[in-house]
Amino acid sequence: MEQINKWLARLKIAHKLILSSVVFALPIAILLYYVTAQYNRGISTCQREIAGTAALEVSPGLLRDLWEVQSRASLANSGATNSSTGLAETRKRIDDAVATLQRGEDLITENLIDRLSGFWRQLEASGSTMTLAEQAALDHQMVETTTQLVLVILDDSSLILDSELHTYYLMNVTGPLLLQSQAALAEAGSVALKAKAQGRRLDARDLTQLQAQCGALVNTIFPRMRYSLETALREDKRLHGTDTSFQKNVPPLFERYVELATQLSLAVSNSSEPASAAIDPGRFVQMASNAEDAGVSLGETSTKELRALLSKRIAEDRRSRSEALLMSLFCVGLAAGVVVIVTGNITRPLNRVVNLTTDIATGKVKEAFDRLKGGEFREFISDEDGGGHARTRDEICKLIGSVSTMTESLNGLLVKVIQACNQVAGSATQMAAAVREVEASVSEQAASTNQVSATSKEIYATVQDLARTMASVTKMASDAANTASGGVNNLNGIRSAIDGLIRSSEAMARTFESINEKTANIDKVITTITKVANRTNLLSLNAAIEAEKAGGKAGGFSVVALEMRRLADQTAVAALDIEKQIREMQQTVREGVSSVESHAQQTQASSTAVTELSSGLGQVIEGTTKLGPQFEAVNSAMQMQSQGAGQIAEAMVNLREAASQTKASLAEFREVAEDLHNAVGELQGEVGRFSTAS
Amino acid sequence: MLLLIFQAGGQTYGLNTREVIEVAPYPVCTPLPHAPAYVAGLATWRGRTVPVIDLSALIDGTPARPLLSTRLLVVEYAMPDGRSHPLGLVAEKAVETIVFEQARHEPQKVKIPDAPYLNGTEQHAGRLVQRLALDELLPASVRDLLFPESEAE
Repeated sequence: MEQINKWLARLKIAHKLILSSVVFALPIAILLYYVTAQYNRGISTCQREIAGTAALEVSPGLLRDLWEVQSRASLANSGATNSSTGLAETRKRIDDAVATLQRGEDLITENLIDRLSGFWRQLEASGSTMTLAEQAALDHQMVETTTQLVLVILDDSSLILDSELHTYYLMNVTGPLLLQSQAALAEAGSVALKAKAQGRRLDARDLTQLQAQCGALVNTIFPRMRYSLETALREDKRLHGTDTSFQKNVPPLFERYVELATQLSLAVSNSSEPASAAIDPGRFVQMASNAEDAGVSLGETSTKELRALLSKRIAEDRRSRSEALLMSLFCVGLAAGVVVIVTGNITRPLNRVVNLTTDIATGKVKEAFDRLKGGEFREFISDEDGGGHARTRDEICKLIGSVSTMTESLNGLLVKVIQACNQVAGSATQMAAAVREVEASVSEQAASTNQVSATSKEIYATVQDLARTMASVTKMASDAANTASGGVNNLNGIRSAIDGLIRSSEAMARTFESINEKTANIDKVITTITKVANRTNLLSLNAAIEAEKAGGKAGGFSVVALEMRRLADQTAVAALDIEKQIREMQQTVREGVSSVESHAQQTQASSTAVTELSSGLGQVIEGTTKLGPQFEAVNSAMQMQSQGAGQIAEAMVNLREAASQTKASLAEFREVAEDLHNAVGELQGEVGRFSTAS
Repeated sequence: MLLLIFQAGGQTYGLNTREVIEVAPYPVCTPLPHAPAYVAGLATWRGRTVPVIDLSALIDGTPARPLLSTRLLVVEYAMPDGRSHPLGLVAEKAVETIVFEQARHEPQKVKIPDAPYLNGTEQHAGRLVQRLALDELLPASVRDLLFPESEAE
């Protein structure tokens, strides 16, 4: 069941409607099938009966001929001469009848007809070889077989349930009842024929037989035939009206048949009187033969009518079948058309609503709103149709109305939400900025507080140090006053010593000047020596080269050249050493001169300083003696300041703690504000998916 | 055998004194424009103009410093065609000659394409002296530049 539901959920509405229509069309189709099958069955039955009536048509004649053959055979055997005149004709008729039966045979009647034709061939082939009794027996068997054939054909026609009962009754008349009456007439005729053949009058036993046959005919068979025929006529009248060939042709033939048979019966019953004992059997034979002929013609006519009726029935059945088919197809087609129209009527607005809601779902609220405002759904929403009449609104119209209202509400809601979002976002941003500013201020304040605290601690320490220093300064000041008075006397001795120092320095500077000049002279001499040594080296090199070129001839010369070069090299090295020492000495002298000059300047400065110090010390002594009481006042103020600085430091510590707490609170607040900002941002993002018509 | 030794780039090199005509003081050289860097220019020697090659520039890539010990070695430069010309070579620390035995000469083992003039080594007082082959000193282009064929002597 769940799977069926799932499967149904996957189908569109149009498909569901079509499915329902198919489900409803199915019984119609089955019903149609059965109706058609029934018609077909009736038609095939009728066709089989038409085939069967071929046997019915020939069987009364066949029976009569068979009787005649039998009678003529018995007549021939008893010596009658004129009996063979009509025999060949009769035999030919029997041949035709058997051939007709064989042509019309089917599965059911096949055996019987084969047997019948077998008997007939046996009888024909026998000729005069067979005894009369044997021929009579074969003949009788043929009669039996024919009767059986007719009954089989009639039994096979199961039309008893059919509404058109007249065919059944007519068949009853044409078949068994007519056979019975013909058999009775034939029996009566054969009794009379035997008597005629023997050339005697009818005796009492013959009459009794004739009476029995005629009585059965008139009292039993004819009323049944009449009843059946009347019923058949009534039904025919009811079904086909009063003016049919059946109603015209059959009753007169039947009346004639009844009349002839009744005449025979009357003649038989009259001849039973003792007064009319002498009755010619030939008259009975003739009467019976006449009645039989009438029966044969009745059978042929009624069979023809029956066939016509059956053909009519087939035609009617076919027409009814076609009508049923056409009507059913028309109904199905009509239903299909209605289904298509209804499906379109349902799915078309639904699809548009689906498009609309899809737009809303994907955020195109503005487009959806515009479409609604543009009157796309006016035909569904409005309460009046085109003619100004109030219209009944179906579920889809109600749905569209609801969607329309919903879209308008949604649009309004979204507009409000977006406005609110924007406001809240702005507020959140401002709040966050404000909180950041406040936090920064608090941080700065905390930093300032820390600085102030540190500074106050430094002040405290400095004041403490200062206080201690002041105490020692006070003491030192009083000591200095005492010492200074002694120092002034010593300074005068120092000044006279410095003057002596200045004079000796000036003498030293002059000595260095003279040394510098002499050293410059030595430098010139050294340069000259170096040049000479260089030339000597060159000379010795060339001499050595020349000596080498001269080879052994200049052995002593090369030694001299080598010695000369060695001497020159030593000279050059010595000159270089002297030059180096001279240069170092010159450097030393220059440094000595400059140091003497700076020494003289310093000495001069010392002399000036000593003079200033001497006058300053006097003032110091005078001032120091005044300082003592002032130092005391400063010292006490310092103590007070020190205490104040300690208190400031403690207060600053408290302030710093409070600031850090404030900072923590502000941080939390900022987080909250940022959360709010983020949340509003997300909300805006969500709402931003929807375009709105404002 | 007597070698005149000098220094270039801190290393000691030697020239056979048989190829040396004279050792002269550091000359005043007139530069030749667009000549290779090691061609110091033209100098006057005994009234003649001779081309001058800076050996420090040639071997070490730095020009010789103008010191007292930096001198002009005038050599007899033998050309492949049999001619010979006086050629000036400027060398630093050219103040000494050394006697070598020919038997202790070691031929050149490492051939350097850019320095074809190296001609084996000698040992003297614990130091290596690389001998120069005068005929390989100049590449053919510079030789043809300095001593054109038309200048027959």
